[in-house]
Amino acid sequence: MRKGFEGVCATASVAIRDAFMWVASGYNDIVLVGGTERVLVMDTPYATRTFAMGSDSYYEGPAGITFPGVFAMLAHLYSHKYGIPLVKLKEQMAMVAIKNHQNGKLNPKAQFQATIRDLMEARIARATQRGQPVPTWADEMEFLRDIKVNPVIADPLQLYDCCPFSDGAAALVLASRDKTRRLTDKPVLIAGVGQCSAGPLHNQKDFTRMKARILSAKQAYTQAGIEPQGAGKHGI
Amino acid sequence: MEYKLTHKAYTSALRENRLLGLKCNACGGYTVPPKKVCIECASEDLDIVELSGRGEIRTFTVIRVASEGFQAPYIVGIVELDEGPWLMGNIIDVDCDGATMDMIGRRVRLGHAVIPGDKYSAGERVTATFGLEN
Repeated sequence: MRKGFEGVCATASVAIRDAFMWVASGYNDIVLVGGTERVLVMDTPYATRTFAMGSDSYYEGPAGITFPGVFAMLAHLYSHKYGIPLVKLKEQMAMVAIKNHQNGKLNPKAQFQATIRDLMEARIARATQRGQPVPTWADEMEFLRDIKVNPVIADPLQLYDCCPFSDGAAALVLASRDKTRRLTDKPVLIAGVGQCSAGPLHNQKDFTRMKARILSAKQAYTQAGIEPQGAGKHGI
Repeated sequence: MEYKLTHKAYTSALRENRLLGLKCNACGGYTVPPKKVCIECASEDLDIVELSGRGEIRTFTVIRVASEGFQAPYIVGIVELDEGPWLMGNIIDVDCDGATMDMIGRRVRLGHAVIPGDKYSAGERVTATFGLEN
């Protein structure tokens, strides 16, 4: 049996949840979940249009909304709602980019295996080598504030705030507990899953707290039989 | 299974800068753009109403890297209409480089723009636009 899924950024999670249900129900012992992405063959406008198909085609698409644009509107809404000055929020988001690139450098399978400091120093070295004016960024934060190297994609988000376009693939084997014992001595167990969706962004009103996210997390906790307080770590 | 307010009727009115929506007889909420059921309570007991087309900007962004078929920069925003529902559209007649956080809360009035079809859409499309009120 083969099945295909499309759920934009959540495609892999949707496929894994489905595979989980086939295994948990006892219908299948082993399910292979595979995912691929091939974006670098497209130019930026074409790729941006393709991703924008995740939005409502009647009432969001015609406004020219893009995926970075959705999260940019969320950032402005969040800044206003919680009274966090945009400069401060941008600083916090820049720290996420710095942390993620640091983690990327530690992962041999990461798309980018360089820290933001590496990228900054490479630019300084290149300018020095070519005899061009040498940039004077004091640190990574100043580098990330520079729109010449970190251009604005959708205000307030700059390039390093956004997901990169990628070519890649990943696979996961889901197996029943009995089968798992024969496959590995270090299985990862799934205690609970949840899934929800919602309509166009505007119908969700204040989307700093997405109902679909709250309800799907509740489903997963209920299925797992634990309270959020009882879980050691949380990831969405 | 009949849609009370169709996409066609909604966009035909929008082309005349009139905003149609659905008012729920069960909970009093408004559904804009149209759906089969009330977005607040899922009731199908809905009546077509014309909204004021006025509201306040809740959030916005300046798109600087556009999708194929769109010319950046332009502003996309979400407006809370006076009747309650939120609606996405283009905020027009604002300098993109002057679009800062103080746009949030500004009063706006509805208009529309016709967007040509592209190879992924079923022909011409219509979007809501919002111009600042003085």
